[in-house]
Amino acid sequence: MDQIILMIADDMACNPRNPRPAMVFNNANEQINVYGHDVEVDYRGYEVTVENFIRVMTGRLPPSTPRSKRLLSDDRSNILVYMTGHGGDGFLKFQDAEEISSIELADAFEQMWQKQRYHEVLFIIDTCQAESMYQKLYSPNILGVASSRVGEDSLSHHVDSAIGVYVIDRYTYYALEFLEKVTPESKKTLSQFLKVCPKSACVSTVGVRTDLFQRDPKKVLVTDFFGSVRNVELSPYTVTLNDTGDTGDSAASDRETCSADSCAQKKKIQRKKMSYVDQFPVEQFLKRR
Amino acid sequence: MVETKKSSPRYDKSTQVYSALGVAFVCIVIGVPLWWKTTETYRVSLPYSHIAELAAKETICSVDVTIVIFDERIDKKDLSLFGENLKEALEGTSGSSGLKIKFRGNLRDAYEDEQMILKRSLNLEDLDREIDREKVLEEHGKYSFYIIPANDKLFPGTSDIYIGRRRNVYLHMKSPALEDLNRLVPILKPIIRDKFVNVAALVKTFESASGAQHLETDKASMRAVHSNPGYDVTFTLLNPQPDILNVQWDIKRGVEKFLQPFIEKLMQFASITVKSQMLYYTRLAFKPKHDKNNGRYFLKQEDLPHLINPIEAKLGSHVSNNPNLNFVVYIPTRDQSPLHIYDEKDFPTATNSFLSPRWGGVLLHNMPSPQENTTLPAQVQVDMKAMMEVFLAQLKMLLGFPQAAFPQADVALPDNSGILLWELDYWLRYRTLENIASSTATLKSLAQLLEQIGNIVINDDIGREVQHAVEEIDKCHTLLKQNKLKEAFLSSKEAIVASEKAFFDPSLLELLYFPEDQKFAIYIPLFLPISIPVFMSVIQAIKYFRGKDKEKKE
Repeated sequence: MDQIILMIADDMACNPRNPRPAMVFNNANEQINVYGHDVEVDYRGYEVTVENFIRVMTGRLPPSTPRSKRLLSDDRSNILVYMTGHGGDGFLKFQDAEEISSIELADAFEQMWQKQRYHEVLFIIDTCQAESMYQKLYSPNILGVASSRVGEDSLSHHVDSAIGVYVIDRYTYYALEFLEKVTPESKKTLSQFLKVCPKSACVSTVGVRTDLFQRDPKKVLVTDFFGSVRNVELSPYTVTLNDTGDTGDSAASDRETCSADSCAQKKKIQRKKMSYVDQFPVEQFLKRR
Repeated sequence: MVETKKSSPRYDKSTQVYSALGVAFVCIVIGVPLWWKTTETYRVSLPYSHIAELAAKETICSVDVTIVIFDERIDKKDLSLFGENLKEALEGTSGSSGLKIKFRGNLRDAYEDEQMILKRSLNLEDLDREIDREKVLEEHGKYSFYIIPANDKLFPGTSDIYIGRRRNVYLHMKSPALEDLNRLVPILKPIIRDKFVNVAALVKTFESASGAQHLETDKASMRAVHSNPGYDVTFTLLNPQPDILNVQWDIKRGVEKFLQPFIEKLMQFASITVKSQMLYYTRLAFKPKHDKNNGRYFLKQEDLPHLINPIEAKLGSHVSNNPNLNFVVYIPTRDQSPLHIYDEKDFPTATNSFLSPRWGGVLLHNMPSPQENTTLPAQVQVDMKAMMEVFLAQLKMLLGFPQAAFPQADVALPDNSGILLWELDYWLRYRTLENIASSTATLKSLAQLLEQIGNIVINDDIGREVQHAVEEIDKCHTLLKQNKLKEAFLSSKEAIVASEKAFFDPSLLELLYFPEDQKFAIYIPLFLPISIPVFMSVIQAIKYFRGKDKEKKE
């Protein structure tokens, strides 16, 4: 269980047209498998709806939802929200069926703020006219990064001729390249991350919104949002405990474990070799024929 | 031929007019209200004004301090002066944000029984035990200070203050003069205000739970998990080389003996569930540095933050919604043994452990390497007592128990539960205030949200939960004022459970895609085709009536 909630349509990795089944790569040279062993998709297919997204953000999930599908954040959590897909001026498309508007998104963040569900949010959005999605935000401590301004389109990076589709968008490609070089001990700052895709590489202009963010991006480490680096404290205290009546206390029957001698009996029973049940004598029937 | 009324053109016109009016009448008088009523969202009425009142109300928390004087020689006037001085010292800035802490003092002479006990006692622990036995009621939140006249037997000279196991403090006063009495005031004030009641920390918690933002980060307030009716504790043993060391731990006995008293003490206030597991072949991913002087491997504090994340996925998820505290025991691999944590001065820390706020703690447990010709894997046992001593201290810190140090005083050691009763009182008061502030803020923002967005359906059970929460908050305010800490805590627990349930109810989602302007787009194609003919006929009807009037006049 990790603190990542992934909502994707998830129809590509096992798509019959994918020549490399169960693998999704970040570029045509198949450098990084972004659908590896430790990727856990929490919401897939029909579960990726605007309603579920708002429910995850605000915490209004039905009581039967498992922990891994909940956003368990509190007032000291830094949250990274990354959204990508087709979008337009003031909306983002979900699964070709519905849209989330920038006002709904702003209201969702405000409800999170009211309930102290975040300390700071880094909101990255990679769609066409992405800037419109963060323009309506009004809650404090949010830093918004968009791959394109209103009126501009975000473009894809390159096509993988083996599959026949564009595999990655420009902003995401360069952002991923930057982040792959960041280690948990790295001292790179957010202002370096915000400069990641200049117009020469991205063709669209990257938009940044810092007025709601209280700290200076030049002083904020990238690892504050990426890499899950925790605060630790040395704990020098102990509580003195009394261990009276120790020797006779734990009877051998209490223990689940066994010493080398008494285990021998148990082991003999457990070491009985496993074998298959006698199979149905098909050959005899076949021979008769 | 008689012209029947029925066939005249005027009769036709009048029937037309009256039927048009009838239709219009039905539409307006019956149809419009029916449509309005049936398309309205069901909203139970919530006590909005009561919630606003609660948010603006000041919380008053009372603390009872009793001072018992054993020495009858002290002058009554001196005593009252001392009382006044103490009262003045304890008052003062007690919170700015709607929290007021009132100290109620009581100054009395010692009873006969207490004098007898004082004569009988051999040392302070005895005195503490016997005096507590006299007390019949469990008194949360009431602190007693016993001022003992010059007594070398009990106070052999190391320190003049002894803090007992429960809620008593024993002070040594060498002479009955007023100066000596007054000298006690600056000793009593920090003990009461900063240690037992920690006014500053309570104010800070209250403010941040109410929603105020603090720019400075405060270690103590960030460390403890949020208040919750239950907590989960998981003990994990990480053994990266089970083929070399077969590490056994009698965790069942360890928990029963060392942790169970703690859990039982808190049972009426919070339920703690304990689980344990062993993980094999899981290493902590780091490269420790080698200290050539003593052949030790060490980690400094900067290396520690990266240890937890790689193993967190392997620690397993659990099912309940309570916050989980993980306590991990790691047996270093043979090529990295013995492994120590060095502090800033390059000394190994005493406990060889660290904790992560709101997550749990990690203990590096060094095991001796097996000898040359023992059969592998060698059996080793984890020292349960040492492990539990470290983890219990960490658990206390993570749950929010105070880390108060008394530099000038001797403090009694706690029993196996690890909690001193005044620590428990502090914790109850701290959690109660946090619960109250948090549930008031939740209700306030819920009320604001529901008033702002008219489209949200409010069900009956949400109304019930909000009502219940509001009643419990009221009750809690009264109980805090009366210093009935235990009942106040329980009622604040009810309040926060109810308010969280109401706020996070899954049904409170705005009806998406139904904003006001889109309502027009839905209703116009339905009503416009009908309303235009009706409207036109009403106009014709009015013209007809005006025509009739004109005729009558002519």
